[in-house]
Amino acid sequence: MSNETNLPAGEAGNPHQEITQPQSVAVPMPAGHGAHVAEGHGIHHHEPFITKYIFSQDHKIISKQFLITGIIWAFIGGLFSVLFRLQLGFPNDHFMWLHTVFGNWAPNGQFTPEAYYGLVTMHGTIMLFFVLTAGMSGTFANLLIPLQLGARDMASPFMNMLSYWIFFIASIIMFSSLFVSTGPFAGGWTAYPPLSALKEASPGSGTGGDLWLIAVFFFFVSQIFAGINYISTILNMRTKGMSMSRMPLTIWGLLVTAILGLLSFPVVITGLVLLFFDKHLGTSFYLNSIYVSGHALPNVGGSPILYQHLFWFMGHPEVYIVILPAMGIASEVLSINSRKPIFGYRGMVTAFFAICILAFLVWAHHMFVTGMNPYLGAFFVLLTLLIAVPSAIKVFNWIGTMWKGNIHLSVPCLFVIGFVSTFISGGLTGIWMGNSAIDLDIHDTYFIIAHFHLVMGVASILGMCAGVYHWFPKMFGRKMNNTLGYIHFWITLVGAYLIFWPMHYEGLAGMPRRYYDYAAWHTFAPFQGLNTFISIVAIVVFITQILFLFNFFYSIFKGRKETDPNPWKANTLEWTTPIHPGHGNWVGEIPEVYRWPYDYGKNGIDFIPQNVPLTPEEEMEVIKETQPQPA
Amino acid sequence: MTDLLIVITVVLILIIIVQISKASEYVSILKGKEKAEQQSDKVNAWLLMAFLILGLIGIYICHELLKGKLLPVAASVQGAAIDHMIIYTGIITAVVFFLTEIMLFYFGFRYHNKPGRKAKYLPDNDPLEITWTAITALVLLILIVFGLKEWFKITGPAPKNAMVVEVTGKQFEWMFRYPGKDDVLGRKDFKLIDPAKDNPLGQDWSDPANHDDVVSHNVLHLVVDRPVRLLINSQDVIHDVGLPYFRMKMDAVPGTPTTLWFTPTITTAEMIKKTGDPDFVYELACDQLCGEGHFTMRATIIVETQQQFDQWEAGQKSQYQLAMADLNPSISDTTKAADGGLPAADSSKAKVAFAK
Amino acid sequence: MSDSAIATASAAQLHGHPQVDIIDKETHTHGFWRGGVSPFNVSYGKLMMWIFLLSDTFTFGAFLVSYGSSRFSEPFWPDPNVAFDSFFGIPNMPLVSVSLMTFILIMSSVTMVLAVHAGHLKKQKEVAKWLTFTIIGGVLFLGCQAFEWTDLIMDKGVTVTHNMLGPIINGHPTPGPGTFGAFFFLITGFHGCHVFSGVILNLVVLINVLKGTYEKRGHYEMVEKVGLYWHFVDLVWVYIFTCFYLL
Repeated sequence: MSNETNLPAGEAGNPHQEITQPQSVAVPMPAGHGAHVAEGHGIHHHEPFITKYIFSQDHKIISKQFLITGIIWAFIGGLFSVLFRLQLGFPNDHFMWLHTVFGNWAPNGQFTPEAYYGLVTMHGTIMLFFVLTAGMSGTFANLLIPLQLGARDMASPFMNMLSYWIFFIASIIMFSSLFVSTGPFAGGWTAYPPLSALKEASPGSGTGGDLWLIAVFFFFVSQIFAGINYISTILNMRTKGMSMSRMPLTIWGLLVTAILGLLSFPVVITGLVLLFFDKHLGTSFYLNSIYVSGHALPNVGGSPILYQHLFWFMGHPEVYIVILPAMGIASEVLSINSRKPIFGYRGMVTAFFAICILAFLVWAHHMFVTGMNPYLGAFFVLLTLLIAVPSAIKVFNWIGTMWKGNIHLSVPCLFVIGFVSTFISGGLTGIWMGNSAIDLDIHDTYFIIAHFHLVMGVASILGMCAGVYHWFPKMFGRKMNNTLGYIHFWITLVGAYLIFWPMHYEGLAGMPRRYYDYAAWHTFAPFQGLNTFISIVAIVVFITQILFLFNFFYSIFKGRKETDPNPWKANTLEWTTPIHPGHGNWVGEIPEVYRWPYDYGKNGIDFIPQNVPLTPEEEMEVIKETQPQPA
Repeated sequence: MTDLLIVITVVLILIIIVQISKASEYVSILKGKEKAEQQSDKVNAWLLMAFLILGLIGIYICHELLKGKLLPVAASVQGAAIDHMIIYTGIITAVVFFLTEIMLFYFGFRYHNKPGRKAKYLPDNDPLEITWTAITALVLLILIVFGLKEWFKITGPAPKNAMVVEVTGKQFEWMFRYPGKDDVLGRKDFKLIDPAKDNPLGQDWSDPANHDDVVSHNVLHLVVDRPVRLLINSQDVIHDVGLPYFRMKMDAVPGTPTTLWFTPTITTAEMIKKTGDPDFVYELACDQLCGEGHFTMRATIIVETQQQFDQWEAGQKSQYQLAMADLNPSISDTTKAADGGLPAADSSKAKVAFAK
Repeated sequence: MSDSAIATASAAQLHGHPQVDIIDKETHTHGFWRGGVSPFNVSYGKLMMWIFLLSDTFTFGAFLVSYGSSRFSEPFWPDPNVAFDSFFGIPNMPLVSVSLMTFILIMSSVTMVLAVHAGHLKKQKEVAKWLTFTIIGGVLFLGCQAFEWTDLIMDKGVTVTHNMLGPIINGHPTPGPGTFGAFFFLITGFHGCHVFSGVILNLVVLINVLKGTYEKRGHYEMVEKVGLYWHFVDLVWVYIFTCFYLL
């Protein structure tokens, strides 16, 4: 809470003043600032580099910081997956260059099992937490919440900056754990004790595990700070006329994401604290009757299942934290490119809230095989399958949005179509394993891998890409190369299906996940050929992402300059700012909002931005609708 | 050398792609924004269609190629029921899958941007939305009802005549304990575990119920058509008893025993005939990451007739006898003789060898 | 939409006003959610504090639920009347010390209310006085907690790993569940950290009060924010007190 007192003095403002005029006091505008904005550059010539780009409090800069950190982590996380796919695809080959690059991790040009499990664990942690949570929410919440709601900045720009830098510290700690002599943490991203608590059980659970715990702890703290900021901004800082029911769906998605994070991260933090105590203070929260490496431990009375409850109470909302921003982006981008309002706005918002509530009530479906009470299991089956209803509503609404549209198949739009496609493919298999009896068969097999990679991994990466391509002109004032974008999309989509579709079959054959080698297994060895195929496709897809990296970084500096302030002909407020908005976003007054964001093709007009007042005819309609009908 | 060549080729391909993309960007500027957009929309619309058709063909090919590698018919009563559930859940989801995916890609193709096309202003349609929500909910409710019926059957109490086997996981080995003639598993305590003294499970020798308990390593013997109740334990970290052929799974949690029961219906010999694979063997896989040897935690299951099982059990020495042989060298000599000259201290290894 | 809102809208039309805003400016019935104003009629700073406290509720909630699950899986749990029977070294005074602690903390909440009230009236000296009392209350509470921890560790043999308050068999005490001490020290320690950081926050605010920062700013909202935090910490203690000392 110390951040409250650290706020610049002017920022707290007079509470009474703020209520009437929140925007005017929310962000301290440096003197002379407006003049620069008016020139259309929005560059603080007088501001030193370090406060402008490094310790910036401008939400747009922070958004770029999150995005670039996220992209770097995505590259590392993706590389790790390619590396462990090398082992799975070519278990008998020795790649001597692996030894050159990774030293002890790959003594004979082949990763050791411990290094392999380290790579698997790091891939999961990095992708889920650093890329799809911090990278995704951090980027789009920071960019879009103030811009689409008509705010000069976040509620507390200082806390916003703090949340990025805490995340940065988490990144550094996580990265440093790769260089520990006993190896990085190798207990899976779920870090189930006792494996994660006992360094006798896995060397990675020593120093590597400690660093992992600390990094993840910092990450959660940063996301809680960020979430507090997002929610307050959305509730308090909307411009005049921007009622909740006029908010773009991106903002709804981000709001629900922030609520999920805010209420679930503290719970996993407690779980991690208990784990840390078990590791270092000899407590027995999770440890009970253990005999490991030749001696019996003194711990009695704990329950490893307690950790799983605390973890999955975060873990399940977490997958929605990953997918909801992508859903919001998809809705927005799809509507703009179809030149048609999003179908069923109210249904979409209701679905968001249904997901928000149900997401907290389904966590134990990850634990059907832990020997839970069958009646408890039945409760979770019921709610798990019910959560498919709001997801289905969303899919139908997206398809409904495309029906009879005039669909511009721009790069972001294609990514959204890919997103919907993989979301369907992965989502439907959720109905299989949500039914606990079927889960007995396919739990912890490749079926699960296929399911969650499609529904939440690939889908949200595609959604994130859609967002990056769509808002790149707003972020950097330049365009990305379209052709490279198309190539990136098609190879990624085709590759994703080639990788994950066959995995369903491996899963149905009972092939367990997180295996280093299947050669000794009569049942699973026949899939070696398929594994090699999947690994080759994975490498190709990974190399394709280098094209995206090139396109992204090249376009920041050398891309074609954007000349149109509203290149997608969109209705939302971010496109009413100058091409290079300064800190404070709008020159002069913040626009007022008169309508919802999806007036595309209404009355034959291609698009009507939110800040265009209603015509007299529209007013009459509104009055008619709201007037009580005479009996 | 080939590595280097591959790298060079990849880099060259990337450079070529980048250069072509840059050039095409200039071309599109020359053509004008509108026209270039319409052209690329058209190309991508056809690509969407191609992806849909090739994708559907791909799904068929994938199925044809891989269906032979799926597991044979479920070898337990419960597994057959689960297979049945998988089939009707699969049919329902497949219908939804094909409908939605075809609509998605077809709409992308059919309504792509064309000069003169006007989008229809359609913000919502309440009856339609309520209908599809209700249908989805109804279908899911049906799945829930059938699913839970099976779930309660499977997790319900085991039949009275079920045989009991205790399964213990440790890094990285499975141990199975059979109650012997008295049908009672003796007391055990993790503090008594001492593999060097031939007490790998920590059995309490002061409990006479322990004296006839037989322990086997990495091989589980089951009786066909007789329900079996597994009492599952772990000594160190969480493991998981994965039984793909019986479609069953249960975690082994240290300190918190779990149970699982099922009825095997096909003996190993019958399965060899059915699959036509002379090397066929039921495998038990660890399904919960348990450390660097996770992938080696393999046990085999022999499903046999009651008679064969009794014969096997009669030929086994109880763990108590093995442990006592350790303590008393004179008995040990006789054990050695009986075991075929293997030293008693190595008996756990010996049994692994036997199992293989 | 209320009638008066339509009236406003129609009136705007009559006057040829181009921008019809359907906000009922008189009654604020829908107005607060219409954008441009805070829906809860609070500043963003207070809103953020509320949201943070909601989040923190889940931290304590998770701790207490874990404690509950652990406790109910144990066949034996130490009797609080035995575990907490020492009053600053005087034995056989069950729960006296913790009652005093609770009383101190509740009183410090009362003084915090008075400080906030004085802040509304912009009485600088009053604010400083009541804040000082609150800080003293917080420090006293922490002091009592230190005594209690010392007693448990030194005299009763309860640490995060050991617990000598087990069932008495044949007149001899036996070890009890280790999780008793672990959860006790963890949760009361975590709460103590909250009290400690509350004391620090109060100190910072007190210094600013004395320096006249808020006088210059024209309002004492900062006192309200730390006040919210302080009441929360107090409220949480009531739950911890119930879970560890009464049940």
